[in-house]
Amino acid sequence: MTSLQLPSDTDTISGEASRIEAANSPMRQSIQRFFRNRLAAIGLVFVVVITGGGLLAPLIATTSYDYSVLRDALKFPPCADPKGSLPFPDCMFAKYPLGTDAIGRDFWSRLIYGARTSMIVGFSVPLITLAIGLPLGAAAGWFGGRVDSTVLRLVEFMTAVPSILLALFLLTLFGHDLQNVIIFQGITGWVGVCRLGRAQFMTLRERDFVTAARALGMSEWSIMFRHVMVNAAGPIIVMFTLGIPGAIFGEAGLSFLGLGVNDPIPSWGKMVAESSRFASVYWYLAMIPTGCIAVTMLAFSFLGDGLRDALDPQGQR
Amino acid sequence: MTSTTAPLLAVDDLRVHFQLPGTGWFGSGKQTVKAVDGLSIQIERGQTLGLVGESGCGKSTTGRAILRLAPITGGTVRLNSRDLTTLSAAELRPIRRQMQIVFQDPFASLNPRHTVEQIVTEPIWVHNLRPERERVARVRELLTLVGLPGSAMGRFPHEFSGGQRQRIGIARALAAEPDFIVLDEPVSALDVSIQSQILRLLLDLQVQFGLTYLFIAHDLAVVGQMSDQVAVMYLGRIVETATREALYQAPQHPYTQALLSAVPYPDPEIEAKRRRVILTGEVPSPVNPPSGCHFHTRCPIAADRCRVEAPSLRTIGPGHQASCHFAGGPPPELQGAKPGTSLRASP
Ligand SMILES: Nc1ncnc2c1ncn2[C@@H]1O[C@H](COP(=O)(O)OP(=O)(O)O)[C@@H](O)[C@H]1O
Ligand code: SF4
Ligand SMILES: [Mg+2]
Repeated sequence: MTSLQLPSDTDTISGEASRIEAANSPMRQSIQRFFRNRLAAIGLVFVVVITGGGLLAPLIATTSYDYSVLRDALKFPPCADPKGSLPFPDCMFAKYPLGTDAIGRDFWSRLIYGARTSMIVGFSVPLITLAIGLPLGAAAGWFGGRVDSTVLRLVEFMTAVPSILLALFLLTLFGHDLQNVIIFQGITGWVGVCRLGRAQFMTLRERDFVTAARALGMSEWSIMFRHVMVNAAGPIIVMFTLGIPGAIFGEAGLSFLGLGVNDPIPSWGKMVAESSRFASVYWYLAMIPTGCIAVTMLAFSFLGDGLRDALDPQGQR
Repeated sequence: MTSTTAPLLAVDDLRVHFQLPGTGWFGSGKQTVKAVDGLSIQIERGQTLGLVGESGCGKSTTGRAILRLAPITGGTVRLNSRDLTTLSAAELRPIRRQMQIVFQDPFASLNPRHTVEQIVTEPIWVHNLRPERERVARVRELLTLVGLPGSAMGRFPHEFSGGQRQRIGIARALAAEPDFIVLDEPVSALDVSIQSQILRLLLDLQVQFGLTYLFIAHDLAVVGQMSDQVAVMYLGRIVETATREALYQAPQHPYTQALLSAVPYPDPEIEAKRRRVILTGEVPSPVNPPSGCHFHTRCPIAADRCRVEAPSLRTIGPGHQASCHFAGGPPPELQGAKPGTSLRASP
């Protein structure tokens, strides 16, 4: 037990403080707290696997996602083929590990590239919401007054219009492809980040350590980066992480409705829609991408919740 | 007290009014909080002025306005005869080094994500006070000054107790090498046993560096140990100011007498005879202060005159001023009561 040997002060809190091991930075404590949370750690593993799968799609996929062999349309996966007799291990190396879709494209390859689509959308949309919402919210919270009321007006307007409806409208107006799905989800979804940024900057502005920095004559910009940003970062990272499953589900929903990613780029939502016609026989074609969406969303949600608990300043005490 | 040189700090007719957002439509019905409303104080170099008043009377706002950390509505604040209220942010920057602040809440006053070294180096860095290579040694020296070991440098605020954090806050203020420090209730949040240690530290540092203090407190208990001059504040104004001795021995304003009667006396015999003046009623809102004398709603000796006519701050002795119609002698219409004498049993 390396403890601080301090003179004089002998109140109870110092007793607790001296029990803390050396080099206990808030960051290190957060990491410890995060990994103590089993679900969050499992979520992280899944997130790494799915993100890695999306990144390395060309290596993992057996063929291209748009290579169609009409002759092989709607093939069962080798393992599930009632006529097939291949034992399990050979399944993995079969030509179509998960069979083919209605126009003879390899389902496994499309699934992997679908992960890539989900990851691109999942990370890009929260980045855009952050890029729009954070500066607006930060300015509103920091400057208050007229800036604040203008931003609040805008937020009220965005809240009044359901963002999915607005995104649908914009997508029908400007056409739908991967890029537009990302952009329109981004520009309709920044309200939450804006509110959070505003609340963070508003409360941090009044904190005594910020006043102390002002009393020193530190410039407002330095104060914002040295004192406010480092303390606002935690909640914003959590918001970002929890925005990912929302964006993935949004893309899947739009693609399911036929307003999402353009053909032939695969998307889990689109694969569910395409497969639903054959669900009575080829039930797994709809089940597998649905499961992928569910697992991915859960993994990111657990990760986000774990980060929230780990980065919570209250937990630092 | 009658020095010929100008005081280090001279605040004249300071006013800080906050505009509350309107409750009505189109922003109508705007209200004004007169947090500080015509406050004047002076502090001689190397001395301590104790500023006392109930919570919400505007003490913190006064301290912050003096440091130009709260928006000033009117009046002047002179530090070394230079009026700070008219300076631009850029002109103020070098002067900020000379005046610092120590806060009440030791948990809110330190950035939880910075190490003690980062916290204490900041003033040195902002004002470029020492060459780069001497800074670590300087931080170590400052920590020693406030009674913390050098090993505290790499640690984070959450690893320290309230008293230790307050020492870090004091080290940060000292790092700027100031002349004047606003101590905004620096011990109110601490255990009684720790309070006296921090107060002694502050007194030692004052002697060592010739510091001038504005010591803010919400009761008269600790102010006596710290102050040369005491100012009692009520609803944004000074109601009585005197040297420590005069204020504790012959308080003139009924509010001061009430505050003083709440201070326990160390001698049990005298303590047993102590008469408590319990203030009834709430502190009135600074949005709608009472007419006439602001204190009349709670004053035990209020007369009709008090409800209409506001008393001015009158000089009633050397360095002793009070703002009560009846200060300095018994009121003509209240022969029985003795507002002019201490309500505390004579020690
Ligand atoms: N930024 C502000 N906006 C509006 N009202 C304020 C603000 N700061 C302080 N006040 C009001 O001014 C009064 C004095 O506050 P303060 O100076 O903190 O009192 P004290 O330190 O004596 O407890 C209180 O009524 C408080 O509500
Ligand atoms: S002026 Fe009147 S109300 Fe005010 S303190 Fe004196 S006696 Fe009380
Ligand atoms: Mg206060």
